[in-house]
Amino acid sequence: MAINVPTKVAGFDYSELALITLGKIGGEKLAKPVIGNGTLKSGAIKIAAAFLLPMVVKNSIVNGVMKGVAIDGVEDVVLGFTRGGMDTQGVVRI
Amino acid sequence: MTVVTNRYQKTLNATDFGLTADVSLAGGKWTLVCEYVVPAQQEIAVGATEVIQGGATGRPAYIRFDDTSGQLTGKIRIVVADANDQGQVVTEHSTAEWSASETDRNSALLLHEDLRRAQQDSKIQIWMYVAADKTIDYDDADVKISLPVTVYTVRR
Repeated sequence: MAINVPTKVAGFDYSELALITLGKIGGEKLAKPVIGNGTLKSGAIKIAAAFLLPMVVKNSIVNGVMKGVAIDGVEDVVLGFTRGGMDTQGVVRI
Repeated sequence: MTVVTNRYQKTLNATDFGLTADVSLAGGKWTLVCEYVVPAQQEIAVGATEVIQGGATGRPAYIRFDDTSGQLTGKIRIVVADANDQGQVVTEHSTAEWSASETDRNSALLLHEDLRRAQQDSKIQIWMYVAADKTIDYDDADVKISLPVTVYTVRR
């Protein structure tokens, strides 16, 4: 019996998913020493970069990676709002 | 949900930490010297951050313990522990660093506000390590604790 492997997941093909993952994980690690992580500020910068860079560099790889950076930026904004503060990372209550 | 209603900085001293008796320190071990229990409706973070000339910096911290013959040397830790004494080390430095200066920012140990907040009934503890058995003479004139903290008043 033939098994049909889906060519797309949630609308993305596998190469695009790989680029998004690369952007999400790699972008976070590269940007953390410079702009921090998990804050409103880092989220805003990541979203701005993901918006602007594909406009300047028209390339499918850059486009895919920047989707990952955008997702990471939105994650930072959500975390920033729930934790409170422009530069505030997670408060640990003991 | 926890709602922060106010935030301010203050300095905990030896009286706050309840240092009212001599403390025996066993050599080669960490010993709990004293602790401050967080009052109701407060959360407290060790350290305090203030902006000076556009840069965020910590406030000076000073801890000095003496026995009858002079200053004790070793290491001092600040620990934030829950009510069951399960703690995390917030900062650890040598006695020389802790007693460098009370007010001079160029030489004092500066403590930024830590991200960990001790909740009501949790504790801020001072631990000390000495190489050989010693006793802290609590009423020695040079014994001093000056630990900046940031207080959050909270409602749940």
